[in-house]
Amino acid sequence: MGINTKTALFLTGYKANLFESLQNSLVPRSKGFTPLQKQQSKDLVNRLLDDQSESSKRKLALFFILIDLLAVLTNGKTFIKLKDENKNALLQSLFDSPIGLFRKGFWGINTLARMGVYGQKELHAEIGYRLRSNNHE
Amino acid sequence: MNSAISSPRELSYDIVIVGSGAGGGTVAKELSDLCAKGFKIALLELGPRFKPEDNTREELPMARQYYFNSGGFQTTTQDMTLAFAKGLGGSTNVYTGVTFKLPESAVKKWNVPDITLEDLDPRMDKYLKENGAHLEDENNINKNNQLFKAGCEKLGWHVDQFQINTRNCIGLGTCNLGCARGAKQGTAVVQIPQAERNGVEVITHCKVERIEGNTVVATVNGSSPDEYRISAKKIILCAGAINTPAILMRSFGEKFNPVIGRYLTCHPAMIMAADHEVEVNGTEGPPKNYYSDQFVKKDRFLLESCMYFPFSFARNLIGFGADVDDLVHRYPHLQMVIALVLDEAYAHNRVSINSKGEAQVHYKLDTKIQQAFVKASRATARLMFSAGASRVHVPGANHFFIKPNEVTRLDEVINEKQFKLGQTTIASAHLMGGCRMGESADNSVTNSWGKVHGHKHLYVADGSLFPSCSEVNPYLTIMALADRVAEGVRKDILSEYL
Repeated sequence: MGINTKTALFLTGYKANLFESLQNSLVPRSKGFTPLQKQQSKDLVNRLLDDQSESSKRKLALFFILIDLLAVLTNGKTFIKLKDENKNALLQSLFDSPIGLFRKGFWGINTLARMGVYGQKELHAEIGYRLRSNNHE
Repeated sequence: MNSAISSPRELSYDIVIVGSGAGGGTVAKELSDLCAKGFKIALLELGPRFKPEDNTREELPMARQYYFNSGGFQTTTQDMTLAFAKGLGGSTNVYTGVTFKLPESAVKKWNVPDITLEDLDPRMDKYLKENGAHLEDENNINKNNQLFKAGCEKLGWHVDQFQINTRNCIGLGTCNLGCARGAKQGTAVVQIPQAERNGVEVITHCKVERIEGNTVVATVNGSSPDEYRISAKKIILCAGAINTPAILMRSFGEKFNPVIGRYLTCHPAMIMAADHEVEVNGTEGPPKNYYSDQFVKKDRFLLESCMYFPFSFARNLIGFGADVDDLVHRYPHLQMVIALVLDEAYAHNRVSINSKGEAQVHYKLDTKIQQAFVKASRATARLMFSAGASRVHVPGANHFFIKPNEVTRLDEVINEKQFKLGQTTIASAHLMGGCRMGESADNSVTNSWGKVHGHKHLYVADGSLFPSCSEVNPYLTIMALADRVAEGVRKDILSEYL
């Protein structure tokens, strides 16, 4: 299935790099990705976002900005440049935030990060997911 | 594209049915014998016609193919996703075939004159038979389902097997991604082929924009918007609980009826998992066979066995980091259970349309629902440990993995304080209400025959008719109501036009 090229891809440039950094913290399995797997991950996310409303994409883009803003405010650096423990602390604060909107924004990014990993059928053998043969007797 | 519509942009039928799921497919079949009397009937479907051989069973491509928003349609508060499908057969392409008759308690709560079990029972029985609903042979029930049953029985909970509507199923286990064998007896397999044989014309890739008088204004196969004007003596909306209210609102405004779009219920659901030492291999064989209604009366949730694919499963895990990877990598050892909350019908839970006319869903996961989820988490953890789980992961817990030695203090480990909206993946696939039946236009959208109040030619025949939730998986109830609506339409059109 090809990517719909009618609309601009969401994960490109800096946003793609930030997403990869977030994904490495959220789903550590992604740290061992080959360049091809990294690209597949982004393709899966872009494909899904292609189906979503412009409003959803705008909210997601704002949340990316918020993450970097919080990183700068708390640690003086953008998220990508933080140490692993600081990244995890910031993500934990969003995950467990008393502000519902922050938790929901975190959920959105966490879900996309997981989709980029466990949505890759090449990883299914690794986790033991097997499709029963369609010729099963 | 259907050849019948390639040339004229103005089409004329006696009956136009919008949507082809449990409601539309049923209505099409039930009215199709009218074609022999000279009536022209069209069945309009937004999506394409799928063939079993085109089904690759791959999770994300199939989710994108079958579902609106790939199955991730979000409510406006962004704390719940809704799964509903497009394509000939609608959501009957992607359900697991779980077949329940509407319980008496739900009918009583509906409180609609003429809608009684005496009326609906024979209709439900008809579709039980037509769809091949049966109890799965014990030899075909997989370990995941066996664990559910064993866990409930050890605890002394009521557990029972539900029927599933398959024929010649070989247990591929990917029902929620469509059936690659055509074994699941949805409307695309059973009712629509019969309707087509009798003369009903199917028009796929048809997006209904609105209704103007007796005309359906539509876009077909990417044509210019509003290019097709399809007139009909009778129009029956079966586009589901989200899209039927949206079509009505686009046609007549959001205020044409005081309850249009309102009283939406959806059985908000969450998925929980347990790790077992033994292999479970829950994706092999029919995914769902058992349920427990132990907590329905008191705590208003239903438990069912279930199994989901890698990403659909992973997205339900609460938290992040190594624990998530750890649990997903135990996939063949996982037991899964789904808890469905039997939600109350409130006016504030509703469908509306945005400035572009697109449907949006406003739904409040209130305290009562959240409390039910917490109780469901505790009950499920008990069930899973009782079935022999080595560790359990459920929402509302104060740590990622609950161990067997914590089973005596689950009330402390799983609590309301820990259950936070936005942390837990809550999803719904049972969309009901929005065009509720009733006696008057003050408190309902249609009468008990699905006829829209104040519109002689316009009917609704889908899950949006439910005045409140069905308390069980709803497709059989939708078919029974659609059968009733078809009976009414038949009477009306025969008396008016013959």
